[in-house]
Amino acid sequence: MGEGAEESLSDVELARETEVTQGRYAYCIISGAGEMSLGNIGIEHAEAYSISHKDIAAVVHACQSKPYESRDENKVKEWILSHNNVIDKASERFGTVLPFSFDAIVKGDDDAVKDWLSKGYEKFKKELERLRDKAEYTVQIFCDQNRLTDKIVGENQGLRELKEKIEKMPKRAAYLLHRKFELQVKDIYNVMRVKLAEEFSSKIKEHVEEVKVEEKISHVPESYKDKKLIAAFSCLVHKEKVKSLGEVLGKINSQEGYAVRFTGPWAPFSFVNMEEI
Amino acid sequence: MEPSRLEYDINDVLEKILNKGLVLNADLIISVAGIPLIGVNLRAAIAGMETMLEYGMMEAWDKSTREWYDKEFAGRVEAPLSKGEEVIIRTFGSIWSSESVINTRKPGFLYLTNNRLFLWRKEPSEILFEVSLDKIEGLMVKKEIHLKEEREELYLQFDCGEVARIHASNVTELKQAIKMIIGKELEKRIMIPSEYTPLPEGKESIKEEKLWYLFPTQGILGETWRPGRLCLTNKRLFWVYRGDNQKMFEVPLDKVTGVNVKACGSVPGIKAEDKVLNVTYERGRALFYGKVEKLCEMESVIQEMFLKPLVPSIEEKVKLRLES
Repeated sequence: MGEGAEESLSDVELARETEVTQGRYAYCIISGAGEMSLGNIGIEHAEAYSISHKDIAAVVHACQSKPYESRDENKVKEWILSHNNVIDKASERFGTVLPFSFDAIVKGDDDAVKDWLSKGYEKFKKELERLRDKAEYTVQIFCDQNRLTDKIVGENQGLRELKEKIEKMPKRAAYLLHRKFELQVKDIYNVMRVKLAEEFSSKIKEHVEEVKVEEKISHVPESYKDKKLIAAFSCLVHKEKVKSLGEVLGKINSQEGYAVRFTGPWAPFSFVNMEEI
Repeated sequence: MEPSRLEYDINDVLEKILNKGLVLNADLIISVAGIPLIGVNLRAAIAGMETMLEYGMMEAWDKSTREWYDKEFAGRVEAPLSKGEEVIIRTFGSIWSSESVINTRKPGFLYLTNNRLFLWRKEPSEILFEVSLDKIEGLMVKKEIHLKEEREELYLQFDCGEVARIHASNVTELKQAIKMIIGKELEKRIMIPSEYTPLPEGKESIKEEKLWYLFPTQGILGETWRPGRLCLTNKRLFWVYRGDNQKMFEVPLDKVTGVNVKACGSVPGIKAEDKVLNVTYERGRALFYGKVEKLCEMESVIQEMFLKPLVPSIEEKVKLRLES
């Protein structure tokens, strides 16, 4: 029996030792002192908890010192949803947070995190103050594709003539010309899009703290598939101004041929200082 | 209008969490070969490093890597085009290259212009593959396994009989575009030469014999006899090398113009009076060597095939209809 007790003791020691070589998966930095558990809401039901330094804290879970990796897309998606869920829950409880990108893992244990928090304290504090009572909203403005093409062709004599010519030609022979036509429409569309984006962003600007034009939007939701995305913005909005921004967007949305997608609030993913911390 | 939290879906979440948010300092984060492992998961499955950099998929944290990449490749952004040549499609693509046992995929930018199709690598700048569109005789899209997953690849057959296997971001679009530009009927079924599919027992195979094949001159090697199997089916005659089970010779039966057993004459390795099976076809001749009885048997079976109609008879056609 004595031997068994010794063994379990060394197990505990072993666990402690391995803990030192472990990592802490970081979800976000929050305002508020105190260390507490947020429950088993982390990735793969890990316990998310806060590690504090002065009046700020990091929400983390204890993990192996290696990144989360998988070829299974659904698994990765699940992880990312959990990641977002922890950030949402923390935002509800502690106000605006500084969200981390996926797979940000601090090498070491709780003390390493504390050390890292204390080194970056000034920066984190400043950033939290700047973003207090603000949240990120996504605005995507869509336009009916056919209306847009008609408008472009209607305003351009060269394209009108080209289109008439193509319509009279046999299908095969028209292919190269058709391709040319499409490319030209695309070029004009790109110029027009920039103009429209500027127009919309100037309308939005007075209701937001900051606005970022999103150049690369890889994903368009199913219900907007038949429409063309002409402008996408990430906006940092004060909670008092969400309503007035909504009104402006409502007006654009009611214009014929246009549709606006307005989502949020998000943690300020696009507005946290992107410099490495 | 009110902002919606319900409307956002998984893709919005992915876009935020993989591309945005805080990242850790390099000495805190775990990295491989200097590349931080943030959100590599999803992307690694989708594209290679070059593509990711090219399309700016690894934003934010890979800034320095991308700066290096841009600097390195500045001024060499477009492939060489001849006067009056118009680019119709430019996309990321690769060509499958198979040399006996070495199979590789060469990646680059695939250009379809009004008169050629070529694959261009930026650095070091080189045209990896090039073909004039009027040389293309056949096109076929086929599913192949890539990184354990199925994806479509495009097979092209040229007038010299060679076959190329290409992958592009959008295979179907590429195929349509090539078809439209060429504007003539193209072969839809391509025999893939390097791919040996064992025949189902007694299904298509009519006769199979172990015979030596006089392998044509290749590089510094002159003609050499190689061991393998000559197989005859109701559609084709082919020979499979014993070494790697690859088809080295293949000819559809309707392209065979003659078959006979005769003295080989002057051929390396065997005596001039030794008997060989001589198969002549549209593009040349092939010699097979083995026991005289085997050669004669093969000869008579092949000759017999010529007497049979190669197209299905009316009865067979009716049967096929009924089945479908």
